[in-house]
Amino acid sequence: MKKNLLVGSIGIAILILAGLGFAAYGGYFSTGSPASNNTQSVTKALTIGTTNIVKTDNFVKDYYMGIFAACFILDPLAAVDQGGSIVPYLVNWSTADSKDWTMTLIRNATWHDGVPVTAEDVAFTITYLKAKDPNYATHFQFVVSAEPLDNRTVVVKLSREWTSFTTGLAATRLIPKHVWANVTDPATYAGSDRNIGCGPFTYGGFDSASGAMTFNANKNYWRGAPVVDKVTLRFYTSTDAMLMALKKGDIAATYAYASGIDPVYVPPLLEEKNVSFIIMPNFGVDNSLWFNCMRYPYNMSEFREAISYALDYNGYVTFIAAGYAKVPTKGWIPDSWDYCVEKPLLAKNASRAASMLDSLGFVDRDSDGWRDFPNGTAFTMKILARSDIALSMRLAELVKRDLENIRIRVQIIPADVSTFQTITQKTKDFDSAISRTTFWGMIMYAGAGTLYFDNRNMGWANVDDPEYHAVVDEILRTANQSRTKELYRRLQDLYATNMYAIPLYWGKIIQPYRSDMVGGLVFDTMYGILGKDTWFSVIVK
Amino acid sequence: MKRFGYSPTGVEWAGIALILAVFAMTLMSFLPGGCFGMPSSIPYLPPSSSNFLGTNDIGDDVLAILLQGSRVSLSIGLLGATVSTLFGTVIGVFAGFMGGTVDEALGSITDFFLVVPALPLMILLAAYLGPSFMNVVMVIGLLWWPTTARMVRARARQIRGSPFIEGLMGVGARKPYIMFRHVLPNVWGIVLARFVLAVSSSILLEAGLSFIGLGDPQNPSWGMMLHFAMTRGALLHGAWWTFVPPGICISFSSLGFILIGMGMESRYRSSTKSIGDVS
Amino acid sequence: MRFPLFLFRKFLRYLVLVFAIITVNFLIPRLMPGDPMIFIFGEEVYGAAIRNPELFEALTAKYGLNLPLVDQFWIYLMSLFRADFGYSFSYGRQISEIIAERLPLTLIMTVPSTVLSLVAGTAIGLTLGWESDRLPKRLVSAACVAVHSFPTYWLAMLMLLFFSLWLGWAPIGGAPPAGASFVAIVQHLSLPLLVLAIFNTAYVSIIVRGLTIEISEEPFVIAALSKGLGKLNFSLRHLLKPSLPPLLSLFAIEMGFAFSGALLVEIAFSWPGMGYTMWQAVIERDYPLLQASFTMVALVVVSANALADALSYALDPRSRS
Repeated sequence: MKKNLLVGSIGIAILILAGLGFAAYGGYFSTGSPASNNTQSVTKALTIGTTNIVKTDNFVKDYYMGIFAACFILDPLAAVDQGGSIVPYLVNWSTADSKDWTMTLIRNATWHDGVPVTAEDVAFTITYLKAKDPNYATHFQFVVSAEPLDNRTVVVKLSREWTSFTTGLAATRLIPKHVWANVTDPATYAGSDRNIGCGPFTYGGFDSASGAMTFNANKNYWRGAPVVDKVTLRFYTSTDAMLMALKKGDIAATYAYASGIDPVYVPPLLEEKNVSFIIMPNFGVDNSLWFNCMRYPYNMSEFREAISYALDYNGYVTFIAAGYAKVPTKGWIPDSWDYCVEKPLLAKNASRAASMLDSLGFVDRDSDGWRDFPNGTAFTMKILARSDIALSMRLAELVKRDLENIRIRVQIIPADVSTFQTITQKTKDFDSAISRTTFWGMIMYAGAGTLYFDNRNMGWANVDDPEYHAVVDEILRTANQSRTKELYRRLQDLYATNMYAIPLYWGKIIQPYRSDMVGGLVFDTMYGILGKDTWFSVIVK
Repeated sequence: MKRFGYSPTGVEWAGIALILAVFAMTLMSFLPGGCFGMPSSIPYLPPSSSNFLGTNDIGDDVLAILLQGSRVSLSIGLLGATVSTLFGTVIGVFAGFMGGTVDEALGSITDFFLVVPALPLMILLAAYLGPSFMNVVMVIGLLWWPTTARMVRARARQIRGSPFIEGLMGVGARKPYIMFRHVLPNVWGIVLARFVLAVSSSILLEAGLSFIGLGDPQNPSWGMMLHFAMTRGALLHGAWWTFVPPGICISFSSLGFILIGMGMESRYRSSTKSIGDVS
Repeated sequence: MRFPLFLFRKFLRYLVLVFAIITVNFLIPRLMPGDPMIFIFGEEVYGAAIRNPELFEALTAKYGLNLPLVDQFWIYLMSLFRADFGYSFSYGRQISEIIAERLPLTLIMTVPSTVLSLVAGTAIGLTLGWESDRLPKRLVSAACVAVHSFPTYWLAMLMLLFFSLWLGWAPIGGAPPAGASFVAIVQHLSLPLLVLAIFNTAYVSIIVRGLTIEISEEPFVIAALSKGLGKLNFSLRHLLKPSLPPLLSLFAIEMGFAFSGALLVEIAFSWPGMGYTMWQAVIERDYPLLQASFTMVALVVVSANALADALSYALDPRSRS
C-alpha cells in the first residue's frame, strides 16, 4: 500500500513539473510586450527580420545594438556617400593642417526628451566615448582635447596629423551629455534614458527571449517625421527560419549588417513571385586568401603569385556566391570604390603556377606526388578557415582542391571566431587564412584595406614591407584629397605586384524583401536598407 | 546498463547484414573516382542518371561523398570504441579486483563521467582540442568508457570473490598475474559486447560533433554532410538528397552494431545466469 | 546501525562529485584557445586594442581576467556560494536573468516530451516485453531500436522538410514571437516536441521491455500467473513495482537530458533554449555564462541521480546492502 502511494506521488510530481514548465512558459509570454496590431489601419508598421542578434539593448556594450541604435535612435556626426566617401551629416568640419579640426553643427536637432542638441554634446561625445568605449579609444587615439567654442562650434586638437579622423566621425553616434555625464560605466548602464538619441525613431522596447525590438517614429526629427510609424526588428538564429518567415509574409524584408544573405539562398527564393532583391556591390572584399607575409615561403611574392595562378576563380563565383559575384582583379580593391584602378583580372593558369613553383625549387623530391621544400623536407600549406561560417569552410575546401591540382599538399585548419582572431591578430601563428573584409574595416586606419594588411595594426597579411608602411604613413598625414587618391593608386600597385592577399571573388550584398509589403527602400553604403534615407521614402503596402 | 533482453539470432543476422553493407560502401569508396558520377558545375542538382544521388552545394556528387564518408564514420566508430572499451576494461578490472580505496577512487571518477552531461562536455573538449581525426576519437574515447567500466567492475568483483581466485591468492600468485590470466579472460564476453555497442555510440557521437561543425574537415563524414546541408540552405532548396542518405547511413550503421551487441549481451547474460545477475 | 554511515558516505561522494564538476567547468573554458576579449572589443578593433597595452590591461582587469587562475577560481567559488553567477561577457546582463529567460524555453520542450515518453514508453515496453516472442511484437521492438539509432537532429531535418517546407504547417524553427497566439505557440513547439518524444519513447520502451522480460522469467511471476491474476492487473502490480528502481535512475538520466541533451535538437530547430545558449557561449568564450549554465545542468543531473538513489533506497531493501 505504501509503495502504491509512492508511485502515485511520483506521478503527481511529474505532472506538477510539467505544469510548472507550462506555467513558466505562459508567464514568459504574457510578460512580453504585447504586439497589438488592432490599430494597423491607422499606423504604418514595418517588420524586418535579421540574423544580427541583439543580446542586450545597451549600444555601448552590444555590437549589433550599436548598429541598430545608429540606424534608428541615434544620429552620426558624419555619413558615407554612395562612393564610400565621408560626408557631413550632423556636423561639417574644416582643417588646415589635419591636426586642429573645427566642427560646426549644421542641423537643428533635438533629443527625444526635448532638450536641444548643442556643441557641448558633440565635444562631450568625443571625449566621453574615447575614455569609456574601447572602440572609440582607437578611433580617437590622437585626440588631445575637444572643446565647445560656442553653441554650434567645437574645436578638436590632435596630437599628430591624422586624416582618418573623419572616419571616426562617421563611426560616432552623437549621445546626450545630460544623460551620460554622470555614468561611470556605460557598458552596464541600465537607466531608462539609456536609449535617448536625436535620431528618426524613439526606442520602443526589447524582448530578448522571443527576439523582437521595436522603434517608434520621432515626429520631431530635424528632417521631418519618418513616413513609417513603427518598425519591429525580429531576430532569427538561422537564415532558413528567417527566409521562411519572409516567404510566409511574417516579415517584410531581411537585414544583415554589411553582408546581406548567403547567396546560396537566392535560387530557391527566385521562385517566389512576391520576393524581390536589392543587390548592391559589396565594398568589402567578400573573401580573400591572406598570406602570413612574414613566414617562409609566403614571404616571397613569386610564391604568392604562383598560388594565384592555381586558383579557379570562376568556381568560387559559381559555388560560393551562386553567380552573384565577379572574378576579382589583381588590385584587390573592389571596383565599387571610386578610387579603384583597373588591373588585370585574376585567372587560373595551372601550368604557369606549376612552372613558377618549379623554378622556385618547390618540386617533388621524394616522389610521393607532393611538392616539397627546396631543401627536401615535406611541404604542407595550412589554411586557416572559420569553422563557424559554413561558407568559409566550403571555400577553403575548393581552394584546397585547386592547390592539390598543382601538387601542393594542403591542410585546412578550422577555427571558430575567437580562435581565428586570436591567431591572425595576436599570435600570428598561421600560414594563410581565408576571411572577408567589411566596408567598415576597409575605411578604418588609412583606408583602402590597410587595416587588414599593415602588421602595425590588425594586419592579417602581416605586411612589414617598408615601402608599404611608407605609403600608409603618408596617407595618414595627407590632408590633400588628390594626393590621397594618388597614394591609393600606389597601394593598389603594391597589392597587384606583391599579392599580400589574393581576392577570391568580389561579392554582392543581397537583401531580399517582399515587394507586396514594402517598397522604396534606399540602400546606404554603411547601413544597407536601414540607412536614414529609407525612412523618408519607404512605402508600406 | 542497457538491458535489451533476449534477442533472436535473426536480429543478429540483420545487424551483420547492415555492417557488411557499410563495409561494402567503404570498399566501393576506394574505386577510382568517376565511377559514381562526376562533380557537376551546378550546385544542388536533383538525382539523375549522371548523378545518382544528385549534387550538393559545391556541385560534388552526393553518392561519391557518401561512400567516402563511410570510411570516416566506420574508422572513428571502431577507434573510438577501442579507446573507450580499453579504458573501461582496464579501470573496471582494476577497480573490481583491487577493491577498497582503489575501487572507491575509481568509482568516483566513473561516477563523474557518468553524471556530467556528456554532450556539452564533449563540445567543450572538442573545441579545446580542435577538430582533427584523432581528437574526435579521443573525445569519444574519454567520455564513453564509464558504463563499460561499471559492468566490468561488477563482473570482476564477482570473480574476485570466487573460491578459485581465493585459492590462487592463498598460493601466493601475484595480483597482476591473476588479473591478466584469470580475471580478464572471464570478463571477455561482456567487454566484447560493450565494444560492439560502443562502436554504434561512437558513430552517433561523431555524427553529432560533425553536425555542429566540430568535425575534421580533412575527413568529411556523414555528420558533416548533414552539417553543410543544414548551414548551406539545403532545406530551402528542398534538396532532400543531400541529407536523407547520410542520415540513413548513420542510423543503419549504428543500428547494425546495436543489434549485434544486443545479441551478444543477451547470450552472455544467459550463459552467466547461474553465477547471478550482473548489472 | 550501518545505515546513517552509508548515507553519509553517499553524500560525501556526491559532494566530491559536485566540486569536481565545478572545477572542470572553471578550467575547460579557460583552456580553450581564443581570447575572450575579442568579443568585448569587437573583431575589427581587437587588433588595434592589443597594440594599446594600457587600454587592454584596463579592460582585462575590469573583467577580472588579469588575475592568476587560482584567484579567479577563488572568486568564482565564493560567488557560487552566494548563488551569484555574475555578468555574462557577451550579454552584459546578469546571468541569472539570462537563465531565467532561456530555461523555460528548454523546459517547455523537454518536460512534456520526457513525461510523455516515460508514460508511453513504459506502456509500450510492458506490452512488448510480455510474451515477447510473437512476431508482430518483435517487429515493433526492432522498430523501436531502429528509431533510437536515428540522430535526433536528422529526425528534426526530416520533420522540417515535411511539415515546414512541403506542408507549410509549422515554421522552420525559432521560438514564437512575444504575444503569439496559442496556435502559433503550438506550431512552433510541435516539431521539436515531437522529435524528442519519438526518440525518448523508443528509448524508454526498449529499456522497459528488457526489464519486463527479465522479471517475467522470475519464479514469483510464474507463481502469480498460475494463481490466475488478470494480465493488466498483473503488469501493474507485479511488473511495474520491481522495475521501479531502474526506472527511477532512467528518469534521472532523462532529466539531465531534459536540460542539456536537447542541445542538438535546439540547434537544428534554432530554438533559443539552454542548449543553444551554451553553444553560443562556447563560441563567444563567455566564461561566466559557460560556467553557470554548465554547473546548473550538472547540478540538476546530480540531484536527480541523488533523488533516484534515495528513492530506490526507500523502495528496494536489496539496494541497502
